[in-house]
Amino acid sequence: MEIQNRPLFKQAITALNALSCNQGLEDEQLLEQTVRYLYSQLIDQPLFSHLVKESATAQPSLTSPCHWQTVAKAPEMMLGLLTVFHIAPIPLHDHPGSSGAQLVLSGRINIRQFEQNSDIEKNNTIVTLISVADHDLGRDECAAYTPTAHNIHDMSAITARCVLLSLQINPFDESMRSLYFPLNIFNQDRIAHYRRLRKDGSYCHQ
Amino acid sequence: MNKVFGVNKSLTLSVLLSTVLTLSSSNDLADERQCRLLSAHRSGEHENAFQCLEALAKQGDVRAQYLVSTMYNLGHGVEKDEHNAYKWCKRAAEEGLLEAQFQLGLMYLNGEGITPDDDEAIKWLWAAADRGYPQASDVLQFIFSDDFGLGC
Repeated sequence: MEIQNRPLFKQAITALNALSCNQGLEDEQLLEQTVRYLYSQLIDQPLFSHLVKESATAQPSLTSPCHWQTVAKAPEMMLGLLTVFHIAPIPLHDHPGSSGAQLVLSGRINIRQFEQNSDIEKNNTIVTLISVADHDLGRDECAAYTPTAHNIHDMSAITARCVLLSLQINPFDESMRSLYFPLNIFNQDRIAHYRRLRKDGSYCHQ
Repeated sequence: MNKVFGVNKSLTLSVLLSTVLTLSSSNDLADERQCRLLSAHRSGEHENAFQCLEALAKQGDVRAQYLVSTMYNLGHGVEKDEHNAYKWCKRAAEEGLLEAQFQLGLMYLNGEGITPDDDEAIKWLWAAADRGYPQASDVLQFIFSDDFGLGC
């Protein structure tokens, strides 16, 4: 259920549009502040509370490991409720060209964030990733990413479910997304080799 | 063996890898074995490690076949070669190594060392998923669904 036409969400989108013009949007702290601000504007709204309750009882589907409800949507951004299930960890994936922040509303979650080791590899099928953060997050805690920092992550609910308020700015083209799977050999502590699977299948083989 | 592996420390490595791989060719690498291979890697013995593993792979060690495939992928101890990586991975997959079946499916999707072939990819991914390899199920969802991971 998308409720972007309601006045509150129009206000939120206006605020986000203003922020999206701000050069400081690369700042992960600003992203966290933005998602917290949006939550503070939504928390007392009955419809939002209803959506949160729905997300807290959602079930995994056959087409996705997680459950998603759009709360507000504009060309430059998307705000929604993401439910991650303990039984269905979300594999390592990227968000090309996108910034985002995810605020835990209920449950606990582990989020591991990575960055690509070299721009030279960006179109390769085999890439080297550096582990840059490993968070166990609980209620009111937040993780963020930008196009250049912490942009690749996986998510694993520690509790049966974890519900997050998820903000994506410049939502990426889903066809550009990649999944990453470890090659499980010679993995060093923070740097490891992964095989990439790109949704659109376009690579530069080297 | 000295002829094959060149130097004494390589002989030690070959015995180590041989023991390690022979003991558990049907299972995933245990942490201890991973540590030993990692140790060989860190000490710059890629070429020796590759030679040891290739010898074992040719003897039919499935785990070694998969590792040789990975070393061809990475160019560790041997010149990077996607087609050889594919061939060794396929051998290990045909012998039933779950991880190789999964990675072979990805190779077919990506067209790594072989012409892309969605039918073959799905065949191997299904094989791995059917045997309980969760990442294979993720990939099948990813390629068939437009809403995979929406919002995450």
